[in-house]
Amino acid sequence: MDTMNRRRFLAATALGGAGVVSAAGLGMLSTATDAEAADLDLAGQLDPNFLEGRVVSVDASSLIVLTPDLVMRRTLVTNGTQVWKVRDTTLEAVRADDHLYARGLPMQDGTFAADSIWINIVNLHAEVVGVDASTLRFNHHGEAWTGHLQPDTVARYSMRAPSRDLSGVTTGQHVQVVGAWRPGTNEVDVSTVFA
Amino acid sequence: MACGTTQVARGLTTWFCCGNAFGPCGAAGHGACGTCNSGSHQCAWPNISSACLGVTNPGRCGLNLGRFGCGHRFFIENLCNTRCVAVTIADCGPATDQFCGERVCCGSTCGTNRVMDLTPSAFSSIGSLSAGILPCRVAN
Repeated sequence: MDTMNRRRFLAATALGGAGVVSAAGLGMLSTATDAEAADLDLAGQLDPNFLEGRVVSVDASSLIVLTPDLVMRRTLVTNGTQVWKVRDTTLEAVRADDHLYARGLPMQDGTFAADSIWINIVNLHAEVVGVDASTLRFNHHGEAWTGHLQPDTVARYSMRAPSRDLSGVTTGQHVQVVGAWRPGTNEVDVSTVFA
Repeated sequence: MACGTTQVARGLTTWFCCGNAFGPCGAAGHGACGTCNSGSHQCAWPNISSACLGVTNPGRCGLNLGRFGCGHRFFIENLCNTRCVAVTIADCGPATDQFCGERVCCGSTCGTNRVMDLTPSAFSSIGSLSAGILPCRVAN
C-alpha cells in the first residue's frame, strides 16, 4: 500500500468507518488530500502532519507523546500504522522514554492518527574508528559512539545491493548510520550502514 | 503537478535533525541559518556561502552547484515515487565530498552524489526515514 492509500486507509480506520463517511465531518483537521497539497505549501513551516517527541506512556492502541513544545499528544495506532524500531515492528516494541517521529493526520480533538512511526531513529554521519563482529565504533561530531550490529544489519555499498557483509566498512571511512538510538546513551542499534 | 520548474540538481538526498531534537540531535542547534527545526519543511544545501562550499566541496565530486541562500525555496522530488515536497534552506550541507561517487537506485532509477539534506518532516513526506537516502531531483 503506498503512502497516499495508507493515509486514506488510516483516516477511515481511525474514524471507525470504511471511508464512506466524510473525514472532515468527523473531526479530521486535515484530510489525506490536504496533506498532499500541504507538502507543496509548507515550505519553511511546521508540518501539522508530522509529530516528534518523547513517549510518556503506551497502551494497546495509543501512545502519549510529549512534544518539544511541551504539549501532550495522544497518538492513535491502528493495524494500518507502520511502526519502525531498528526494523519494522509493532506497538509492543515501544517503551516509555522512547522518542519518535511520526506522520499522520491531526484530529479535531487534539489526537494524532499515526500512519507511520519511527522509534528512536537516527541518521548519523560518522567516521568509523573500529569495527568487529558485533560492534561498529564511530565518531559523530567529536563524540565516541558504539553501534550494535543486529542479525539483520545491512551495509549498502555504492552500486551494490544491500549486504550482510560488513567487511567493506573500514576504519577511517565516512559512513551514514541509520539505526535506533538507545535513549540516554551514545549507543545505537544499527539497521543500515551506508558505506 | 510538476515538482518545480527549472532543475537545479539531480542526485541523492539524505536527512538530518535540527532544533529541539532528541538524543544525538539534541545538540544540533538551529543550523547555519539559525532557523532549522526537524518538524519544519526545510533543507540543507551545499552552497549557501563560500564558507559553506569550503566544507561541502561538491566540486571534488565534479558537481557545480549554484549558490542559494538561507530561505530560498526548492522543490524536491523523490525519483522513486515522484512525491514532491517544497522546502526552504535552513542549513549548510550535506558533506558531499565525503561520499563522492555514491550511487543509490530504486530499480533502474538512480541518483549519484549527495546534493540535498532534508529535515525529518520534509524527508518523511516523500519517503520513509528508515530508507536513509533517496534519489532526488532538486528544482526551483
